[in-house]
Amino acid sequence: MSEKMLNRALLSLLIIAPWLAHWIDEPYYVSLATRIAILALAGVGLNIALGLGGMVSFGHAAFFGIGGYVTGILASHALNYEPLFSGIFAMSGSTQMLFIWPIAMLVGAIAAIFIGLLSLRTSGVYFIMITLAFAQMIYYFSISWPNYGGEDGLPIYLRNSFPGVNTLQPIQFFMICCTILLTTLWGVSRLQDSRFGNALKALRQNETRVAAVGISPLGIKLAAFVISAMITALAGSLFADLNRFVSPTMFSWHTSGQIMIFVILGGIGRLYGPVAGAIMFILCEALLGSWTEYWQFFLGLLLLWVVLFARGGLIGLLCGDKAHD
Amino acid sequence: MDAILLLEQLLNGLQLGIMLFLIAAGLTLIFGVMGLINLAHGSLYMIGAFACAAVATWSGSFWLGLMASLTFAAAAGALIEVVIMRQLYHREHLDQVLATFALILICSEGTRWLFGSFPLYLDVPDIFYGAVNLFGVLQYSRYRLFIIVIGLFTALCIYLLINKTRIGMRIRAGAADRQMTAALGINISLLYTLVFALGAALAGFSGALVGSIQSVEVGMGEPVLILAFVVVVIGGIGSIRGALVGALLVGMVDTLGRGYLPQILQLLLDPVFANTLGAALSSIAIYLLMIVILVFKPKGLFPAHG
Amino acid sequence: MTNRVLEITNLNKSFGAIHATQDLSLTLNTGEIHALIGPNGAGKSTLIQQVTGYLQPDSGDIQFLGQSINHLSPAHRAKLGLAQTFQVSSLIMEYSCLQNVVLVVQARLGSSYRFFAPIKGDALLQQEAMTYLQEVELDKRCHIAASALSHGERRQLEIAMALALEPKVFLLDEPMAGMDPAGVKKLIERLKKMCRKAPILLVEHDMPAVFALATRITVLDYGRVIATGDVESIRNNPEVQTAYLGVAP
Repeated sequence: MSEKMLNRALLSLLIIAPWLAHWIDEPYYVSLATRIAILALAGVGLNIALGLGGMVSFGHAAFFGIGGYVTGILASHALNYEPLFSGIFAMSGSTQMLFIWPIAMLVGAIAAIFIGLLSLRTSGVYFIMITLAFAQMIYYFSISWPNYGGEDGLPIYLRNSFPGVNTLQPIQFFMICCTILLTTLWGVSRLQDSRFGNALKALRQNETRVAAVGISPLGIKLAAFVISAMITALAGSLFADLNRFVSPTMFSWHTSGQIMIFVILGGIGRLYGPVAGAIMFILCEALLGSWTEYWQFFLGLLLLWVVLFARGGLIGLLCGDKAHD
Repeated sequence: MDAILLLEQLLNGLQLGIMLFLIAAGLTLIFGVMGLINLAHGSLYMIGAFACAAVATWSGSFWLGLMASLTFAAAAGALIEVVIMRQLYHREHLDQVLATFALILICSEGTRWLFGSFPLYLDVPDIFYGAVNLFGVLQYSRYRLFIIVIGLFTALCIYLLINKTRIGMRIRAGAADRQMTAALGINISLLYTLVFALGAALAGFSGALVGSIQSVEVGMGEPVLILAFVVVVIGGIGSIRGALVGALLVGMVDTLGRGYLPQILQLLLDPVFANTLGAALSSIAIYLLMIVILVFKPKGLFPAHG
Repeated sequence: MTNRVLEITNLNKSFGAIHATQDLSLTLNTGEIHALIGPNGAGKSTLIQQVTGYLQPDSGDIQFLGQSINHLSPAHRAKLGLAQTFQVSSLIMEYSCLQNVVLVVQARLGSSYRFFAPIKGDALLQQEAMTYLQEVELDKRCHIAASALSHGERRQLEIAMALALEPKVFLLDEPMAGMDPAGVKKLIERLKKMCRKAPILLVEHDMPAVFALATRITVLDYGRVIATGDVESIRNNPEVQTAYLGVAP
């Protein structure tokens, strides 16, 4: 099967299934599909750093959580009519998605610049550990800081608004998430084939050679890291709105691990890999989960099998090696 | 500054440090000798604790439980090494991270399946009940003192093993230069299994000891795992000495930080805010420590490789 | 206006007790092929790594086109026009020959921070890259992945990538290593043509090739220069003969 065909099939599945569910009035499945779309988006973000750039970031949950908390904080300040900060920096909160998303992505980008500048000078296990450490710091900080719920988390009483759409209706919120996912996928496909993508993919394979032709590796890596963080932060923001709740677990290393699982299950470095991976993961959770509460045991076995024997993930299995372009 | 409280905190820090050392020693050897990032080390810690609890309850003897923790964890380690780890040695770090993450899921859910979600009962043996009077000023838990003593003893044994025996020499050679050691004809497969089983036994032993004062439940290994990795990175990969220094450093910073940071901040800031900030900062203190050390010494304090 | 493209003055580098580079001075002038020879362990690779930026010298100065480059990163030096080929071919293995060269052209022709325009559609880049492949006669193999190339072809690709940088200096680290005699002959001709574009600092063990190519030769031993001169004077230098050319003292 060609990768293009499989991509179209996955996309069709992702779009058609929830509409079917909506038609037969089963909103649970629409929410499930929304969850898939959002987690896929988080994976698409990670895939840029990990799949294209070869940077094993074990702290991407930091950005996922940042997106979520920015959303939660802005919404709670708006709904409580409390201004954020004080004095000349006072700003009111917001419940408008179109305003919240850029802020979430901006804060994610700032965090990524900071974390990236400190971590990208290292490599190998040190990079893994430093990215993990930053995520852990934010995790423990969010638990200890009482203003936004601490360990109990922060509820978002009313889902945020989008002009012209009733966001409380599951299928409409799904369409928002799906559209964002599709737009991002389109953007990433352009990125992959651009000059930047060319340099990034080369960097994953041979950093010395890239420097030897005059491209500074640190700059490219940092840019990729930041872009990756922004996308994952956007996913976090949508996740917060989906559940109408944010909690420190969004920052936990388990979350980082799960995002990596989506990417690897679907096929690392493949454009639609995270989509396939998220579908597989959520299906495992929903189907296996309905048979046994120990479904993660089987997820572990599946993941182990994929890593040992099917490293290319689902897409690798079905489509073979990546086409040499 | 209450000197007695300080003494107690120092002892607690020492205890935490020694326990972390037992776990980190295995982890650093596994990474140093085999080049393997093993996230499942925390699961071996858990397996040891569960083995101890199960056997102690069934037999009525804590000591039998301790023996069980060592043997079960070592056996589990050897099994995992032969079946799974052997496939991972030549793989990239990402694959090792994912595969061992999968192992965490398998071990945790598997344990939950076998034992349920409620913590297992494991109590301190009778002879260690109560407190001991230290230096005439401090009442310190007998059991914690026991942990410190046995931990130091184990550390000494590891030191002797690594530095004074033939096997230890081979392990150190493997940590310094894996390929050369294999090229010298040493039975690398057996060495690897031994190192992994040793690391597993230490982790399991530590789990059993700590399980008596905390709780024996699924997931107990995870916070410990991260701490152990921080210790290994700070101390330098492949170095037992680094693991000891790193573990004591982390144990002290974490314990003293939690104990004193809020108070120190209260001298400078509003008390309520200081308390909150202090609590928050102390939970991230060790990560800050790691980052600062890596800035000045990118390979940790005592790296085994060049 | 100076003829000196590369000027290395009193370079020193030690690794613990090993004095890998001792008070080394060397110049490279326009139009010349300056060969660097010496036994294994003489410090040739260490010197090259200090010039390209992968090692920091303990003391001494490296001037490139009149500018001190001691504290510049390898990528920065490449951007200034310093092209190198590696002793062990360092290519982007999954990329085709064409893609490898396109990477160099992309780096030279401007920013790599373009995120949208597809690189395949950039005819300018692709055509320019092809011309370099044609120069090394790899154009028929342009779509073959680097991992599938023969050893000799990989060395050619490295040359093509060095050419694509349109550099001000070539640093070639044992380009003839592992090549068959026919390949060596072709490479000698190519290098003679290349030195008209930019001077070459050539590290080589293939002595006949060195004597056929070099304008000047510098001989290293134990990190120090033991002789510098043209082909004749080096060939007849008794110290060099003992240390390196295998003639009994």
